[in-house]
Amino acid sequence: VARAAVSRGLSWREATVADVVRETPRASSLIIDVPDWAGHRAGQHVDVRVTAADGYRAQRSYSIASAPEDEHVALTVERLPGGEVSPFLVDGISVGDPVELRGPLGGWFVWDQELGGPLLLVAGGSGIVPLRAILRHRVLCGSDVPVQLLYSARAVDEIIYREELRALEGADGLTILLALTRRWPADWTGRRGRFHQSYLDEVATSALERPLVYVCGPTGFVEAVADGLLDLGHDPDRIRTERFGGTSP
Amino acid sequence: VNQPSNWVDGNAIAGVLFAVFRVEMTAEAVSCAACATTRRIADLEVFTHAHGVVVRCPSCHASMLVIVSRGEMACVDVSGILMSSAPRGVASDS
Repeated sequence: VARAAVSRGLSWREATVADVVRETPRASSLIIDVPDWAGHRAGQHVDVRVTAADGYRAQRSYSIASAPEDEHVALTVERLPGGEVSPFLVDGISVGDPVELRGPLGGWFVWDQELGGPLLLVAGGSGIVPLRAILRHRVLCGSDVPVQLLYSARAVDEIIYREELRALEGADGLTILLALTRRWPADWTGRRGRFHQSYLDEVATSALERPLVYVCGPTGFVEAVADGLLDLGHDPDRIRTERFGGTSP
Repeated sequence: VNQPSNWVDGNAIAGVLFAVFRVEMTAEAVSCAACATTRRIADLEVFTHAHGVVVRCPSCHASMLVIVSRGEMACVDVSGILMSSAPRGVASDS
C-alpha cells in the first residue's frame, strides 16, 4: 500500500455548553447540547476544537462521560499543567458558549450489552470518564453483568464522580475499590498506594472468570496495569486499553 | 510507573483516521511492515509533534503511520503497514 491522501467525511458540529459542573479542583464536566446528535456507544470519545480570538485553533480528544441513554452529551475534562486546551475547558468556558465537536469516535474501547461480562474496569485519574459512561450504560440498559471497578486517584478530593460512585456502591453486581496514591485521611479504609501486581492478584476479578477488561488512564498507569493483568493470566484479547499520556495519578 | 509518558495510543487518532478513510479504524488489525507484529490500531503508540503524528509499532517501534494535517486536509503515509486488502468500507476513489 502506498499513500492514501485527503478527504472530507467526518464533519465538525457546532454545539453549545448547556451546563458546567465542577467535579474536583482540577476537573469539570461540560454538559453539551449537540443538535441532531445521533447517539454514541459507552466508552467512545469526541474530538473537541476550540478557536482563540486571534483565530488560532487547537483540538484534543475527550472521552464521553454520559451514557447513550442520557439526554445530553457530557465530557469531563481534567486540567493538565501547561495544557493548551484543557485549562480553557475546565476554567474558561461558560454556559452558552459554542464548542465544536466531531464524533462519536472509536470502535474498540467501547462496551455494549451484547459484549456481556463480567466486567473489570480499571481507572487511573481521569481515566474514570469513559468507564463512568460504561457504568451508567450498564444500569440504564438493564444489564446485570457483574462489574468490578478499581479506581486510583491522588487524593479524596480528586476522586471524580465521588458522590455518584458512593451512591452506586452496593448496587446489584457492582463492586468499587478505591486507591489513593498521594494523600489519604487517617480513617481511609481503601488502598493506600498504587495498584501493584500483588494487589491486582489479591482483589481483581480472577482471570479464571474471563472478565472483559477496560483499562483507562495515563500511559504509564495503563502499561503497568495491563502488564500486571497479562502476567496474572488474563486473555490479551479481552483487555481493552486507552492511554492519554501524562503522569500517573 | 511515575514517569511521564510522551505517547498516547491509537484511540487518539480515531477522528483523523475517520476523516480520511470514512470508516471507524481503531478496531482494525494491522501488521507492522518491519517486524510483522499484528495489533489493533487502538493499541499502537502515537506520538504527537508540532508538525504531525507518528504512529509506531508497540513491539519494534518502527514507524507505521505518519499523519500530517493542514487545515481540513490530512495526508496519511501508511507505508509502514502491511495490508493484504483495504479495510472495510475504505473509499476507493483516492
